Amino acid sequence: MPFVTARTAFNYGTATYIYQPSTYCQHSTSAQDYGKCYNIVVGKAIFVQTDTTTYPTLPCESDGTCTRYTSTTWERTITTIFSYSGKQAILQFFNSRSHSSVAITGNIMYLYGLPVPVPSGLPPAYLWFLPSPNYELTSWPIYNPLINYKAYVDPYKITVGRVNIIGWQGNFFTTSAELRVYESNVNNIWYAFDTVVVWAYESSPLAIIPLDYDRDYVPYQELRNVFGYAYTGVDQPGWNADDIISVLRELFPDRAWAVFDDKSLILYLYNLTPDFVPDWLVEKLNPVSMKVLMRPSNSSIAKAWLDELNRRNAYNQSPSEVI
Amino acid sequence: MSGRAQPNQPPQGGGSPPPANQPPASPPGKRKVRIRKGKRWVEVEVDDVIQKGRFKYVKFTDDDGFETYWVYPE
Repeated sequence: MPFVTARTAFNYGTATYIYQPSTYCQHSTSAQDYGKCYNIVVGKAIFVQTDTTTYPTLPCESDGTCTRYTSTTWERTITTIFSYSGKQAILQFFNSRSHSSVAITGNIMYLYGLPVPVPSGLPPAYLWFLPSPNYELTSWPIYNPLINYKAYVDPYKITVGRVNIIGWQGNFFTTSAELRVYESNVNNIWYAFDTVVVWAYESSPLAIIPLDYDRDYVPYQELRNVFGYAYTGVDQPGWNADDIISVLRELFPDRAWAVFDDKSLILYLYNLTPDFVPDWLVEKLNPVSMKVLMRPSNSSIAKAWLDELNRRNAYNQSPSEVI
Repeated sequence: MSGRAQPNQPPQGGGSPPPANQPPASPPGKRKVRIRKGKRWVEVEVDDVIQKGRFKYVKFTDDDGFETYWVYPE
């Protein structure tokens, strides 16, 4: 069974395609611009402030530059990266950069404010594929040649806060993974980040539709293990192309979606035509042909599918460059 | 193999069959190309040839009745 590679990026305030973003937020309560975030590239930064009496609304909430959390936590799950139904996946690589009010200090297990992809089901902060929690390394950067793990602090300066970067390469067998941040129950912190994740999974028929895992969770449950979920909206393997088509017809009759049959190499299009299939998807799947199951009744349905796939996958390009 | 809805059936021909020993006539203006389907090469009547992005597609109606776009190999 061949394996195929999946790759995705998460841009929360900074972005992978900017070498040195200058994104930061102000978290000094004595500062006049407290709660403001600056130089957001893509998406929103994250701000934790539990005091809703003194700070009912932060400026960054009002202007849409941050997502505010009003409770502290030891570890925050940002999103699910992939969650497969009995399909094997191998987490292979990640690179994570954050701009944060909290710096990596002391033990490298405690990467405050820096997102790390973690196989699901592990106890909080039990990142055992990273170096041992007993490594008390206080000099930076860190390079551990045994597991090809790298960490850097402040490769460049920002106005407020620190720049933290970690990278890891290895093999972790799992059927699901999440993007989590260790916050250590600290209040009044902020972070912005971009993270690239690479994993592999068994070649399979794919459901190609961006599912909103968090807000659309009930329909996801209804997928009945016919296919998995991935943040990319593309790398969602199932067992049988016909079953995937059947379930998608039932659940999403009014949305656009595609199904790739990895045996016949046919890409089935629903509420879509090839006009809406981006080149990068053709390059990735390499189909022999495309078949239109149903033409779009309204081109905005097809456009919504294309825009969302581009947003989640064309991460090495700025939005204006995406075709 | 359950669930996939039946596609539109290709139109059933009416009228008299073509004379013996002669291939059925193609509609005027439709050219044919050989494409690979599964493990064999077949000749299909082309509805259109489309260039989109850096890929070229042959549009035709497949035996199953679906509007189909064959991707030219690079």
